[in-house]
Amino acid sequence: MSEVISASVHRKVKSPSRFRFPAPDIVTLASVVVLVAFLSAWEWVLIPLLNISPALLPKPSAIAIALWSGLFVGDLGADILITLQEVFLGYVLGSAIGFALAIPVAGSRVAERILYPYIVALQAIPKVAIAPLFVIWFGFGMTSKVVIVALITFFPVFVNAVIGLRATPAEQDELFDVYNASAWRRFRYLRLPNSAPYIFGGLNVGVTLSVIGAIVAEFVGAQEGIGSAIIRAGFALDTAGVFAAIAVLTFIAATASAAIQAIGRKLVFWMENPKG
Amino acid sequence: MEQLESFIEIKKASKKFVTRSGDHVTALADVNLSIDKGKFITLVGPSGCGKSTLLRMVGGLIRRSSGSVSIGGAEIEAPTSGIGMVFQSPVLLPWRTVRQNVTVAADIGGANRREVDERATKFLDMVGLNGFEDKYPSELSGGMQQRVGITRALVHDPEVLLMDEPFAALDAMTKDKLQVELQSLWMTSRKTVIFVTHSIQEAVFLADRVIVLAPRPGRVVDDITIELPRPRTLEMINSREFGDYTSAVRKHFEAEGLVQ
Repeated sequence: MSEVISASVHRKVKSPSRFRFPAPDIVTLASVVVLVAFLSAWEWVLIPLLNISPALLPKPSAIAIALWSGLFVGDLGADILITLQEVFLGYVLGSAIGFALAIPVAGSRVAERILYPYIVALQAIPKVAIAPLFVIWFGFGMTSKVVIVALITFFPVFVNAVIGLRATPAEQDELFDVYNASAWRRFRYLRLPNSAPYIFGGLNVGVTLSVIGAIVAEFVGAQEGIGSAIIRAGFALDTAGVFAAIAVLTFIAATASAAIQAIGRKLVFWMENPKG
Repeated sequence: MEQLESFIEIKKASKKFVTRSGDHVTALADVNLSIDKGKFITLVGPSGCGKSTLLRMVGGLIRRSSGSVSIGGAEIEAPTSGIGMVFQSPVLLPWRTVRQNVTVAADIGGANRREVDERATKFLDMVGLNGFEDKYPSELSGGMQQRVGITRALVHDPEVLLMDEPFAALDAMTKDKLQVELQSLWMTSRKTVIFVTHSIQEAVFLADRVIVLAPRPGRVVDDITIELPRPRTLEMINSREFGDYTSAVRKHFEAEGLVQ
């Protein structure tokens, strides 16, 4: 009887080793329809009807043209590459430090009491407020942006990793007691996999924050990058250029977030949803 | 064995602890128990009688307050590789396949990988899990998960198998089936088994000896040798002799109920 139950359960569980794109369903179709309707209304109803100046609100078609010329004629392509590098380096650095610091804090109450107040204090400082300092310290180049992105990414990864590394059920710990498992093996084979769903939750929050961080850092002082492109377009009253840059940013953040979620689902295949 | 000592010797073992509110509790008071090698022992009693505490003491998972526990003449102070443990919930690691769960001792306990692999194949076959080696725990029924838990406990070839209410969370039919399976597994491997349960019927069905425990303080109140022939069948549960054994155990709990 139990075999029958397990066989039917098995059919429902997706194979963890394969990733398949979902078939286009009615919901996806509906959201595409909503987008097309929204853009059409903006293009052919809102702008002509209210006679809004393109300097205030350009048509979607004007934004698309600005995006096209920015990418293939102007410097937007180079700006995108710069921002992507800042986001990537800062994100990797911040996540790595967040995870590395979570290990002692999760493992020892003493380390927690020593480190936690400083980490929380660091998080309480608005990053926008200290961004100018980093520009003074590290210059107008990429370093100051990477540091700010790292600082912003650090916290969600750190907090989630601490919770995750402590989320091991007591009974699993007792199993490892039975085998006299060393501290390293307990970490490698028990704490780490149990923390993975939480860590991916933190990484997912961190990835959208990291894009915001890069733009804020570029606003404060930069000659290149998408943030700098937005400032330049703003000064030139090139509203369509501003919208084009925003569209690019949205695309980057959404794609990066989707990528992290896909990696998370693949690595943490035993959980329905990553925590966080 | 030539010596007079039994394989497992528990002498005046006690466990006392202080609760958070400052009360002193005696979980186990002066327990004496001698267990011969290859025997199937069940510890039965109501909750709070210290049966799980006694089991964990034998496994070296809990420090005793006083007394001694030895296996094969060696005093138990910490878990050893001579112990296999089965828990009430299967405690499977959800990110490992059935085979990876069963052979976890090779990763975390330093057991020989090749020997563990060989025994894993043999035992998985015996409990009917062949063909399920590459499935994940979430793809198995509760009964099959506990079979994995039992196989894992046997795979490093321990001398003593400790089982803490392993079938308590299963439905009645699966429970019956697994009791019969455990009996045949034990009859072929002849491990020394200590099996904790609160089910009198389960205790009598499986045991060579039923140790009856009572609470406050946790202590042994009876030690009943079950002389039903093996292999025992589920039909035997309805027999007169079986009933005599279960009522002999039950009368202690009724007496305990009157005391309270």
